[in-house]
This record gives sequence, C-alpha cells and structure tokens, in this order.
Amino acid sequence: MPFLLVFSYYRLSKIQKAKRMELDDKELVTKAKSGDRKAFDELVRLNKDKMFALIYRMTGDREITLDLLQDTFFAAYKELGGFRGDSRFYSWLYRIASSKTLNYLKRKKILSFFSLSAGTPDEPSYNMPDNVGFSEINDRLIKAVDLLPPKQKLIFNLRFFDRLSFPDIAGILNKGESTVKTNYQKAIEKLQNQLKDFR
Amino acid sequence: MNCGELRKSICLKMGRLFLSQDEKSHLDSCPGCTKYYEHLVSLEKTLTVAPAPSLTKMEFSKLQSKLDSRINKYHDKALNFYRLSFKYGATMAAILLLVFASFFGKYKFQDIKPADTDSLLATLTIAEDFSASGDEVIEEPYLDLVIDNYVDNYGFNTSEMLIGDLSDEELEYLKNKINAGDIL
Repeated sequence: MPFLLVFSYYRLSKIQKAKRMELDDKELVTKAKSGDRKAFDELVRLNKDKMFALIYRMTGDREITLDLLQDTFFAAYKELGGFRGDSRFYSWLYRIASSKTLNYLKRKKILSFFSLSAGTPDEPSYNMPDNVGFSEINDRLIKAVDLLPPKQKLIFNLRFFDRLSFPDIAGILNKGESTVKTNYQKAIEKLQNQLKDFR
Repeated sequence: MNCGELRKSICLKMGRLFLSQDEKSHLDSCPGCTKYYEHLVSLEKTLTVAPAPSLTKMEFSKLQSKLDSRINKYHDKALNFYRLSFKYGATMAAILLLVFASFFGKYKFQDIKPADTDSLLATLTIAEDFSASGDEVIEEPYLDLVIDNYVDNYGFNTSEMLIGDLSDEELEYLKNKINAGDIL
C-alpha cells in the first residue's frame, strides 16, 4: 500500500512537471514571438541538449554538430512567427534540426562522391571527450548505428534515444506512421545483423 | 499471434521493451522467438549504456555568442533593408509622381483645351468662308457649258450681254437651276 502511494505520487508529480514544462514552452514561445530575446535564449537553453544529441548522433562530429545546431536555432528564430503552436516547440525544433542534418549528410555524400577520397568513407569522429575510454563494444555499436542509411538512422535516434512516439516522428519527418515503423524495424534488423556476435 | 507478428511487434517496442500477455505466452512456447527477444534485450541494454552526448559549458557559450552575433546581424540587415527601401522607395515614388503629373499635365494642355479651341476656330472659319463665298458654290465647268450653249443658239458675244443684262434675281435663279442640274 505505501508503495502504491509513493508510485502514484511519483507519477502525478511527473505528469504535473510535464504539463508545467509545456506551459513554460508555450509562454516562452509567445514571449519570443513578440520579440523577447531573453525568452528565446531560454528556449535555446532548454532544448540545446536534445538537439545537440540528435545532430551529434547523426554526424559524429562535434564541430559540424555545433554549426548545424547554430543553423537550427537561427532558422527557428527567423521562422518563429510561422510557428502556430499546433505541436510542441521541441517537435518543431526536431523538424528543423532533422532537415538541416539530412541536408548536410546529402551534401557530404555528393561531395565525397566527387572527391578523390570517395572510396574511403570518413571515419566518424567519436574520439571526442565524451567517448574517451569507451570499450570496443561501444565503438562497434556506434559504428553499426553510423552505417545505417541517414533516414533510418534519424528515425532510430528519434525513437530509441529521444523516446518520441511513432506519430510524433511521422509528424516531424512529414511521413506516414507506417513508413516510420517500417524504417525503424529495418534499422533494428540491420543493427541486429551487424552486432550478431556479441551480447 | 504467430512468430512474424511477434517479432515485428517487439522490434517496434525496441527502446521501450515491455511485453503484453499474448507476447509472453508466445515466448513461453517458442524457443526461436525467445532467442530473438533476448538478442533484442541485450542490444537495447548495450545501446543504452552509451551516454547521451551533451554540450560542454564552453561549447554552449560559444554557440550562444555566435547565435547572438548572427541574430544581431540579421536584425541590422533587416533594419537596413527597411531603411534603404524607405529611403529609395520615397525617392522613387516622388520621381514617379513628378513624371506622372508632368505627363498628364502636358497631355491635358495640348490635347484637350487647345484642341477644343483649335477645332472650334477651324469650324468657325469654315462656316465663315462658306457664308462669304456663297456665289462660288457654282462650279465653273457647268457655267461655261451653259454659256457655250447659249452662244451656240444666239451667236457670239451674246454671253457677255446676257450676263450683263440679267438682273440679280435672274442670275440667282439661273445659278440655282444650274446647281439643281435642271438646265443641263
């Protein structure tokens, strides 16, 4: 009985926190729309880690991630007037970040096709501070994820790491829910095949 | 629930692996699917071990300062654009207004008022000429023909005499007849 009480209190406080955050988001967006720079800075501060993680997992390069993150927030600032508030602010940011990242990867692919080093794909620069000292398994894991096609990788990251629902991902990528599900399933199967030999 | 359905279902739950009663009972009776499930669980665990990448404080302050300068530049650019567009827009509008006004001013001066005056004057002149030279309406070939006929009938030099002898009323009558073509 006491466990049940503690659990329900925990659940309630979590729901309240989420609702408060949503309200905060809406309030901040309204203020930022009316030209309040501090409100926009606060929105950046609240969402920076989520966006950074997504872009970094996609590109594997900190410098490029910072550039793309800057582009994302700058685009958000410019287009803030067009944000109607139908979805959560972070979903909208995810959409911008996803399209910027996919465009970057497309450009990179085209450039690598024309460059002399086309035969040797770039090693993802995971030897960054937060990855130093990681085991071989983690390296293999990261490489396995990195080998996924960009769209599958994006869907996998949004679902697995950012814990978004399939309808949310479908909304972010402007795709059908079934397409998103199929892509996620394919990504998991590919990962399973690549990481067959270790458990 | 068959094996394919179960595998698809748990694959989609990857990241939030929890099983329904149906799935649990299938796994209890299917060693192949149990193996598949265990593989997924281990993959999930391995993937979640990796820490979420995050920005360092330094990187965040660098991002903020770059973003600030970009936003400021954007504002300056927008402000300059509006300023310049207002400045040049106002100048262009003034020039266009002048051209427009001068064009239509000229048009009115030349085409409407003077034209009216000219056409009126021209009409008056024609009317005046017409009334002044009422005698000359008779075309000479007809008159010559009438005189020639008269001379043929009555002899040489009679035409002068005839014309000289005719009174104004008779001459007028003759002219009207000639005009009407009765004599011819």
